[in-house]
Amino acid sequence: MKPSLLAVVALGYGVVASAQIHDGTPGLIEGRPEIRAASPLQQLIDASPPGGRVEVAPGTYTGDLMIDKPLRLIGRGRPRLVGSGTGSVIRVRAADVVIDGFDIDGRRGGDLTRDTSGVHIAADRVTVRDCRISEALFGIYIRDAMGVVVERCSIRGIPGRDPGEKGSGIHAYNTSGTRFTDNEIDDVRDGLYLQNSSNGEIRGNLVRRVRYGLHYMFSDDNVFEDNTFEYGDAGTAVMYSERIVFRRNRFVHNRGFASVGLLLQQCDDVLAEDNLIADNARGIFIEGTNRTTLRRNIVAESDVAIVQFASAQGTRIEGNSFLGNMSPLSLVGKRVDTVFDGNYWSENPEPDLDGDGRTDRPYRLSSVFDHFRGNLTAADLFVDGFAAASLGVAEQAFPILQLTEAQDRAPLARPPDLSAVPRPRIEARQSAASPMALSAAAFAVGASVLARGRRARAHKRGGGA
Amino acid sequence: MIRFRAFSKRFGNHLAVERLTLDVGRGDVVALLGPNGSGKTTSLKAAAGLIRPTAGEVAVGDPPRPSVLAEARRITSYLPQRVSFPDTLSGLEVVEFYRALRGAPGGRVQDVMKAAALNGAGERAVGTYSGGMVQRLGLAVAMLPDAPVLLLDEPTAALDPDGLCTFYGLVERHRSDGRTVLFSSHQLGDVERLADRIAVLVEGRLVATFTASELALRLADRGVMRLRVERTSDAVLAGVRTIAPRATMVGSDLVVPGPAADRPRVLAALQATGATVLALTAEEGRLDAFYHELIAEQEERHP
Amino acid sequence: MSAPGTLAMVRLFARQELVLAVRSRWTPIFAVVFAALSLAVGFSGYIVTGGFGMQDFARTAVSLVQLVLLLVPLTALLIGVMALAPERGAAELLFAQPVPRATVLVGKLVGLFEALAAAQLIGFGAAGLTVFSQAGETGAGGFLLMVAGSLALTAIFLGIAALISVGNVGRRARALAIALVVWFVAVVLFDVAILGVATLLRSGHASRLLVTAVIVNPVDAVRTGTLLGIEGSAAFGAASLAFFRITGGSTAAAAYLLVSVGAWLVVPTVLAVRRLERADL
Repeated sequence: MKPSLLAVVALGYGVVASAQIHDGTPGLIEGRPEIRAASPLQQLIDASPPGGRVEVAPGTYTGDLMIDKPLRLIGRGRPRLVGSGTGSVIRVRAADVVIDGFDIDGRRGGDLTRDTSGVHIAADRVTVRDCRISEALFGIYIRDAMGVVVERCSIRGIPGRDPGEKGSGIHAYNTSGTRFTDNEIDDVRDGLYLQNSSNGEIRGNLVRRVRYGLHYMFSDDNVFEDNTFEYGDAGTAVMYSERIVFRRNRFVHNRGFASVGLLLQQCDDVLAEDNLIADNARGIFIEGTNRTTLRRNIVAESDVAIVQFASAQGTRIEGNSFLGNMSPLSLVGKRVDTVFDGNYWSENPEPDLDGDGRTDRPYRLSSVFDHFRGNLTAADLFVDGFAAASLGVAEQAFPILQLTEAQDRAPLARPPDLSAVPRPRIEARQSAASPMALSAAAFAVGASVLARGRRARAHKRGGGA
Repeated sequence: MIRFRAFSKRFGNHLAVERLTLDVGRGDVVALLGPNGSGKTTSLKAAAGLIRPTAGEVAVGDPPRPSVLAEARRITSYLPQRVSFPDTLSGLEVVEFYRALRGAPGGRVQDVMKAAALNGAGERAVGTYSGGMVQRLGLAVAMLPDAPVLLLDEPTAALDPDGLCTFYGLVERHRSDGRTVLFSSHQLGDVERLADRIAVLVEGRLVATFTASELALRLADRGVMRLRVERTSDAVLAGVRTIAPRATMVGSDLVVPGPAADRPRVLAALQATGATVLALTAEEGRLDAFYHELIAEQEERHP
Repeated sequence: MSAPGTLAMVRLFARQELVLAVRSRWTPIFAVVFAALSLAVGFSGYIVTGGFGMQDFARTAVSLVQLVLLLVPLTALLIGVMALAPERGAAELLFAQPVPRATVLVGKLVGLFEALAAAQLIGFGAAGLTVFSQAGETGAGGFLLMVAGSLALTAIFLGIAALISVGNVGRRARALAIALVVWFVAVVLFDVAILGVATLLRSGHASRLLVTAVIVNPVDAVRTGTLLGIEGSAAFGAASLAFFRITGGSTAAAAYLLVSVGAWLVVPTVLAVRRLERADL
């Protein structure tokens, strides 16, 4: 027997989730680096009184560093801290440490079981600000800590490595009250990894080209606002958690196999509003959740806008705009108590004759082709074909199949004004030069060939005279 | 230059041509004469390589090669019965295309356009041409390669007077150049005027071949004189039969078949019996009757 | 008498056919319709997302490919049949010339291909300029792949049009009717029938049937190949993986698709040539 499409997806996530819970367990805590692996700055730090301020002049400092007393380590003119290549570059082992203004190079060193990172934090109220971390397995690793702040940092992973051989951008395990603000994370395994980390605020971060943009479990009462998670092979996954708020985030371009813009699994009381969830293989995935609320989001250009299991209960999907999705809804299991109300569906052909802003009939969130593909994975090969379209037309004319009951009871007739939803980021334009040139060339070649055919007569006239 | 050897062509159940054997030598101008559906077009198409023989052989050239081979057709130029051209091309473009195709020198384009009296219309689209102009354009294309063998299917059927002049000129020039022409027609005028030899096809079979003068003689034989005389009697009939043995009485009319040259003597014989001629009509041979007669003769020869 | 070579002959006929195609009203109409629809597709994503510019090339490509699959086989068949089933008097004159029939047919096909390809390139160019200027996405490879797929379909269905025309000399209306049936079967009916049969089979057999069908039908083969090439396995989600598993990996899948497209490119044309060489005109 071949598992259905959705079973495959579910299976995939189950495996991934359990594997990552295991991976997320922290390793040993590295202590003071050996003398020969230590940075010249270690002496400076050791000499500084607790609560002191250590300023570092521009230059390159090779070796690792442990901070075991509260102090402010300030880089002037972006000094470069190049690790020994054997362990974490900065190890923070005391509370109330501030690290500000460094370029940190992990030299691809260390290993994942020791959580080797650019900055490894195992203490409360640590702040890392304006740092650029590159070539480190983990960017910033935080464990068993409260009130850690990471601001305006840029974390770039190790290029060319498989995701399995890289660490997360920012990895938080057993923390509370963390604040991650305005960071940029690129080319790591998981952009933000949060496990057993509650009551945090995650704002304005940009995560791209990763496996999971957000990999999240057993963490309650976190707020995500104005973040961008894009180009994730798997998208974002939120599991086994409660009372999470997603507001004005972008979940976009997650186009990997079975990628999901926003996956919610075994979560309760999640609120997602004013988000842009666009160009994902699957827009939103809901399984085993209670009381999920999705409102005023734009869900656009996904293969399937919403994948929902019957195990999801009390879901409300209201006032969203569903634009250009291949299929609006994929239900696993027939029973669903989800409320769809007042959403806009760009494929809904119904008119609004009474002018109340709602189309005159409910919008049924399934087509006969969804029925096929639900039962047979390979049927998706035909999803863009005309067979699917003609089946749809035929089914509308002669409704014979008993399809799912899910429907939007009062769909909007026009796209709602969702001005709080963030716009897509505009990519750099210069990369478009070559396809633009190609298009222009295609146009020119086509036009000139057709023109040559037309000109032939005039040419003959000249020759014949 | 053109050789049919036991050529047969079957279309489904219909046998269009049956065992045609005919040789057209260098410098011959041969006409295929016959009623509609007699196999003239099929034979010409076979010579032009458009039709594969069901049996037998159709070859052109010296030495002869099967006309279905493109190489063999280098020496032929064929004009179909109802030629047509793409409406959007100009006459000059059509001729220029065939010039390039046949590898003819560039000067030929103006020559043939002039010869076909089309040099004023060369730049107009063929779609604006009259039927006669299209046929003349066809002739121009046929002349273009200066081919040793011309194959023309009913060339005069759709021609206007200009075209006929062009056509006769073309054939005469070819004859004087020692080239070979095979054409079909059901008009005696063309045939008698142009052909050295005439092959008569009826229902797919070659029933006779004549030289131009033989045909003229045979057709002259085909005449019938009808006479109404004041008093008919066996004596009158017997008198006439001394000259025209096939004479018969049909009602009150005396019907006298026989060559036109005999008619004065028939009249003299009639007068010698004392009969008075009230009315007289004479007609020359009708082709359909002639065809039937040829078939009958052939069946006598090959029962 | 200097006889031009075969290649020169093919060029001569191709050029003539190109001129005829361009001057017939159908090619310019096709060019305009195709360009208008391509532009509409290019803009539509933009409009649907409320001027978001969300529409990068990969997403537009799906719609453009659908447009190609619908229009290109239809126009190649119809324009091909109309051009390759000329009036009897024209065909007789042409085929009585000292040129092999294969050369004539291939030359005409080349000319028609040039005309239709040129008409499509105008549309693709216009759509590409719109999409890329909005979305600013790298997509040159995908764009080229889509154009290549469209051109392959053009050539395939011109070959089929040749086969239809050659079998119906002097019966243009009948040839056009057959062309329409062929189009409907290739683009719609085949897939519907396959999906219908698939529902009756056990899942494993059904998957193999669907994958085979997608490879065998040239329209599906071009669609699948193009979309997989542009979007990777995201094109059909899990079905992409089923496709790769049944075919034995992405390289094997690509090989199967290429072989299918190649066979469709060659076989109908070869059959048409052989049939034409035996035909009485």
